[in-house]
Amino acid sequence: MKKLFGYVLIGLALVSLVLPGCTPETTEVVVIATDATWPPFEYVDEQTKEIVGFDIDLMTAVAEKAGIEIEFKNVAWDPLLAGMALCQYDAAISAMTITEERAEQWLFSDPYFYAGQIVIVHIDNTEIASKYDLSGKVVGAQIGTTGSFEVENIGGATLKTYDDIGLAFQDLMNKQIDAIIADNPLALGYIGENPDKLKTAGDVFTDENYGIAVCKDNPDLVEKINDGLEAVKAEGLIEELVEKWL
Amino acid sequence: MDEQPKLKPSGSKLAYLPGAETVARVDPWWGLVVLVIGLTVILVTVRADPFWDILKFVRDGIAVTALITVSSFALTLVVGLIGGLGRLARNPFLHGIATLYVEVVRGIPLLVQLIWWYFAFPTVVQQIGEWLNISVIANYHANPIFTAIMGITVCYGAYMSEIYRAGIQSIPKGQIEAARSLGMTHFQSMRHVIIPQAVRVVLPPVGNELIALLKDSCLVSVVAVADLTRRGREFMAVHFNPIEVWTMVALLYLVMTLLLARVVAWIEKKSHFER
Repeated sequence: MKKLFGYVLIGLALVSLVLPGCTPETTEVVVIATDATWPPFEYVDEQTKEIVGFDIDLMTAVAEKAGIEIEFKNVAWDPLLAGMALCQYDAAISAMTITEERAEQWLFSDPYFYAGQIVIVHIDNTEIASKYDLSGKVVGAQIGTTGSFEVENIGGATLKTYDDIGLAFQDLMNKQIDAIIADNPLALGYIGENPDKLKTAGDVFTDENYGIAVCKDNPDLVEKINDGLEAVKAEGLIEELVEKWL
Repeated sequence: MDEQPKLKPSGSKLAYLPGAETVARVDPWWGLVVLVIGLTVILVTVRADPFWDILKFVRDGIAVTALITVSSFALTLVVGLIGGLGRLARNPFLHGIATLYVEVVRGIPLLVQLIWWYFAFPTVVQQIGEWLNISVIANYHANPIFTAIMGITVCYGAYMSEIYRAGIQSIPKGQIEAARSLGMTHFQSMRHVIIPQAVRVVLPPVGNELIALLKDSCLVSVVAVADLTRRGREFMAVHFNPIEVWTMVALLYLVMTLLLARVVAWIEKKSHFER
């Protein structure tokens, strides 16, 4: 009797593993992944605990124009990239630079924002004036970001990767690393909050465009998003959002 | 000399009883180690892209993981002994300090402790340095690997203290009383009677801790230490192939833990005498 009960339990457990896979999707909610540690583009608001930011407002407006229902999912950056390659999410908006390597793995919408990489150092640092002074230095960046690729391209610089860029800035403010390479608007946000500890070194040195990532099995969704993007661009929403968030 | 036949120890007679043959000399679980290593080698050779590339990329991460595991474990053994003896001390001050240490450290997740040591501790030290006006302390910077080893040692030292304490307490009181009545001092009876027996009791849990420590060492990846886990994540973030990367990383951890488990089993066997 006891044995039978055991078998039934194991059977039920196995069934429950399979079941969610075959529930029919009644409403098509598009799951949008975002790494909400990248202010002001996407971050978790202190008071409301909601994901807010430039990208979130933009995506919500685009979805409205495109007539799709969306749901945001907060995931860390490196699983987000891997998840996009495996189509675990329908799309992702996360201040993502359009790169060749990434475009081989998934689809991109039209660009919606122009940004570039910049070097950030501690305010007391007088040695580093641009990215050319980074040889022999320890430079932080978020794991898998275009900033980290730039560090790897600098001969003699040691790359230290962090789970999220906030930890890198904390380390820089503690003077445990020499510099950070990150996106310009994000860097300015952090410097704005800690003007007594951080400053930029040199100018923006790359040209990058942010795009919305879409799973490669879903070209229809790219079209819908592009149409929505065009409509909100025509309304001048991007300028409005720049005004609001940057 | 008289020809009295030597008495055989009863153990050797028992060995000839059916079903009580001496256990195979080679531990059969080495087979599992060979299997896992074999699987890794097959993956690396048959599908060099990406498995060989992954292995090459994470190589220095393996070394960092090994370094952190070995050094923190060695330190943990020392810290644990001090903590364990402190927990047993009759002096209320020593006992209090050791108990406070164990209770506080055991109550905080290792991940939180590691983040605290790396991101909060240096700021605290710097502020104290500024307050005391000593520039050496004010300019204190944490070395990530050193901080990781310290964090793990502090945490595992607390667990180890409890293991040592339990081991020593597991020896019946009669043993120390007998040793004392034979004229040994407290130290002598500890050294010759209690500790040798306690070591055998604590060996399995200590070995267990070593393996747990190796696995928990992956938590240091959040404080920017480039260990095996972080190297795996870095590789995945560029090549977008989670299946291959994490299969490889899991296999590499498994090789290390299985090897350690065999070493621990071997030491346990070596130190197993009749009671």
